[in-house]
Amino acid sequence: MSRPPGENAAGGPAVTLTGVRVVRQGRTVLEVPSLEVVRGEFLGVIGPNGSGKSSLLAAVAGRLPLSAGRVAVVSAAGGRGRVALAAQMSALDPRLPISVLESVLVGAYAEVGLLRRPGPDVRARARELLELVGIAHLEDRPIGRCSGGEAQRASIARALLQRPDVLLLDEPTSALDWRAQREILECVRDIHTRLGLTTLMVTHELNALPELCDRVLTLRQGRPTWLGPAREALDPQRLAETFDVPFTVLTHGDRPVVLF
Amino acid sequence: MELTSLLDHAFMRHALLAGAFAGVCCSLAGVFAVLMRLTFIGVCLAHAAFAGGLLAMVFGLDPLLGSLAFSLGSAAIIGPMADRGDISPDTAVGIVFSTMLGVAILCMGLLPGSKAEALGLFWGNILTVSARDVWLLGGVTLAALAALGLFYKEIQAVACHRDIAAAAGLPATAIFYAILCFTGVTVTSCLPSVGGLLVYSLIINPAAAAYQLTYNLRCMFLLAALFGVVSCEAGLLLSYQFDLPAGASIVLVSSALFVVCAAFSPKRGRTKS
Repeated sequence: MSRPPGENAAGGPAVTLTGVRVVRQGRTVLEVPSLEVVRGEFLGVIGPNGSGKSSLLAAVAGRLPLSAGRVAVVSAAGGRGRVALAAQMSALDPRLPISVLESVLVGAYAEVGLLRRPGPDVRARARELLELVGIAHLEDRPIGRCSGGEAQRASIARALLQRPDVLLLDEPTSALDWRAQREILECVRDIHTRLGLTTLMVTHELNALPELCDRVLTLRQGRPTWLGPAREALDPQRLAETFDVPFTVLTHGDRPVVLF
Repeated sequence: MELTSLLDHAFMRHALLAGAFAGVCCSLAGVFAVLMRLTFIGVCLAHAAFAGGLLAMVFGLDPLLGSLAFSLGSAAIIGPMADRGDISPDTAVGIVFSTMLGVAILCMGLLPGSKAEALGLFWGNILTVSARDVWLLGGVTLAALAALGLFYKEIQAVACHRDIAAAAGLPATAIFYAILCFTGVTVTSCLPSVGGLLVYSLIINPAAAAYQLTYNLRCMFLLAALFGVVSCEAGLLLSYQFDLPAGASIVLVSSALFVVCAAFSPKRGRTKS
């Protein structure tokens, strides 16, 4: 699962935030003076609950009105880049009448447009993506009857169907067991590398950061407090200041391991 | 009971047609309500339509116009109130429901003379439904079927995965509000025949019965519409045969259908695998 950090980064900004401020009900929930994510980079975003991580993703996705500043997403060709968000999978009704394939196809509906049905090419691509995330055998299963890990894979396939330049992942391992967490993170990194994506991932899985990410951004109270190489992210002093709990970082083999 | 003799009566022909149309359009609205877990919205919009109808009667206007204005107005209030996040969707529906109930009772007190026409909006009477009411129901049903056919994929996305649909770039909020407005129009068109009180059952029961039987949304729409029509027509025939109140017969048939579907549901006891 290891690879040199930044090997996929191809240079040039894919996402640029300039003077971004988001105010909700009179409270500043996000304030990012400057942030540049390089094309092909894998950026991890960490911070305590309410620190603005999901707001950052929503701002990059264009789903959050900005009170100030701008967010620019640039494709490899230099045009406006596509952004897709794989949201946290909340508990789904197990009786919901929609299959995994149909659920993934929702990702293509905006591009297909009103009054048109997704054609065979779109369905074929959806099936390819299900294969890529490892759940091709579940395409006819009702999405509500999938496990958390399977539903999360479907969520990633749905986001990929939007043919994004930038993939946003909001806590893809939340509420998953240890094995499912590891499998999802491996799947995420495999996809990032194979498809040459720029990826921003919000996570609480601190131990995965050095192996998975090129850089890590730490947020606290809506503001960036640190941005640096992933291998330097697991500093016990900084983590303690960020999360307000004491941390211990051990070395196991050649890997840092966070204890708290 | 001879079918031909049954159809000799104009009122029965109107009733059977109105029942078929009401069965289809209420069931379609019910599928949205069941999937989006907004089943109490049917009650709220029915009471809003009732209150609007009464207010129109107080001012000597056509009750249907008042019903339409109030049910659409309530739908337009509930959606944004629920979406703002300051209050829960249940609370938003509850506030509008209680307000509409207050308006209805106030108007009932203000109405001079006999309250029979006013109570007719509440109980409905499918056996006295007019040709205009049948046309209205038919128009609403056909419009609903056309919209479902044209926008099926968007409707499926929003009904099953509203947040995901929004994240994927669909106008999920606009589609959700359109669904609420359609429910308001459906309730209004059913007011003269099914009545404000019983329309809720016709919205929820067939859709909830269909929900027990299938994991396919197309099948769910088809089954719900079938159950809605069967409830109305069987209820009417029972009413005709045994001299029972038509609205109550229709609702009880739809409830019985739900009980049978729930008892034999393939989804019973199934959990995530």
